[in-house]
Amino acid sequence: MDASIDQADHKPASVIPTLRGVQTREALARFAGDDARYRHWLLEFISHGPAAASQIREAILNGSLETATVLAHSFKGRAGMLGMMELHSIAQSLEMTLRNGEPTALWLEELERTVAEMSRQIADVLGDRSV
Amino acid sequence: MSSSFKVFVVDDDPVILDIMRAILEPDCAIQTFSSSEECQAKVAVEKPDLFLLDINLPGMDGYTFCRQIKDDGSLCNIPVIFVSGNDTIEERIRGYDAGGEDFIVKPFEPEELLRKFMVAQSMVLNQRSLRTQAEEAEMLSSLVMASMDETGILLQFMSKLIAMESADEVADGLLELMGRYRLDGVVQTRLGSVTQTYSAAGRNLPLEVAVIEHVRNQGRIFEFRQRSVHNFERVTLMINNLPLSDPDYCGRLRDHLSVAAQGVDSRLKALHVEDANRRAQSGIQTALESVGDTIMELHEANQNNSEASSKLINDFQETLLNSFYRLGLTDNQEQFLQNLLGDFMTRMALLLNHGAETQETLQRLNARLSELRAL
Repeated sequence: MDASIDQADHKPASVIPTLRGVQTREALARFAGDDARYRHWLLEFISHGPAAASQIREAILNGSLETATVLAHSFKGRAGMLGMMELHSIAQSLEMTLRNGEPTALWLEELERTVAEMSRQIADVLGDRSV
Repeated sequence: MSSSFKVFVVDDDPVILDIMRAILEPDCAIQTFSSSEECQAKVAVEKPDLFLLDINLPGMDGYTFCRQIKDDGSLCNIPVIFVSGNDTIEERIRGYDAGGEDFIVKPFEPEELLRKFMVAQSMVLNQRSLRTQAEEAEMLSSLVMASMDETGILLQFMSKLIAMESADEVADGLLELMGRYRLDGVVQTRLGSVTQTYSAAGRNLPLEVAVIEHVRNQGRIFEFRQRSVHNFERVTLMINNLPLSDPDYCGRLRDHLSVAAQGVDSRLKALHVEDANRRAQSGIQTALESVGDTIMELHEANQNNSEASSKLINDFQETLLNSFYRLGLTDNQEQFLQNLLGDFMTRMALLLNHGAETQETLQRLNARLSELRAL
């Protein structure tokens, strides 16, 4: 994906760089082309993503499958809106697994691993510019 | 915010709320809430035009909140769009059963959200327009009812007017009509050479007469300040308290009063003609009676003459026959004169018989005149 993303009419070209596994063009459009806004939430994901994954794990370990399902559902929603479609897909699988009462370990690990990668990538790509 | 169209968005994820704000803010007044309960508190004091509800919420979920909205008479017409992370038929059916109008799945494209927003906005505006039209129709209906009532008053007056027999009665009727229209004013009637000015205050009050005399030549309809004058040949109607604050009512009153005044003018004209006819008929009656009296006098005179003539002739015949003895006439001479007198008397009797026929003719003529007088 281009480092420079076309913006809505009358807006300057985006400064959001390419992020692997993120549909930044579509996600930026959801923020009406406001890349500062989008950038804010991407950077917020650096802390929010791992924390959310930890909460899901904790709920599963505590046997609170309903809470875990709700958390997975919420995580899925946010990931989708931020353009993180790979994470969205993993969270959706985890949510379905939880709803169906199936073993969650594989999807949970996959989620945690992908969240960690995404957080690192965002920090690497956007970290300097977000300060 | 570029519109007064209010949208309440409920979602527990601040990213979703921020995105909603970014997309919709240019087109509406958006307020965001992180729970149904928070939104409920706001709805108690301010109502939106559209709800966008997440389904999975902490506390009360979106379906339950939607059902509460639809059960509330003051909110039930506000459309609800569900925003869900699950695109399953079960979710959509539950949303439909809860009373929601539309459904949008996360992650959504901004165009999709905008399109659904505009459809909902259009629906709300159409509903408002229909409500306005319904209110206008109701108002129009009330106006028509009021107008029909006013027209009914006029028709009642017009139906009574036909039976009114004098200018006084007509003027009183017109003042009563004005009273029923909550109007105060003056009526002047001009019937033949008689002009009368009437008002609730009395008859022919000098000041009112002076004003009416001033305005009666100002044209068919003449208005100044709160006064309205309707002039016709035989009537002038002046209103003193035209309700200018209600232009529609004023307009209808002008029409009604104009019709009433025109009707009064026609009735006064008819009364004038009826009066003239009565006078002419009375004159003819008097003339007929006079002719009848004259005929009777003639009849009596003629009868007296006939009787006097008969008596005179009889006296003359008797006197002449008595004188024959004193004249010493021969029998032949006496016979000759008797024949001559007999012939003359026969002709006189015939002449007197003609007089009797004249008497009969005069009697028949008098009988015919009596018949005419009785008509």
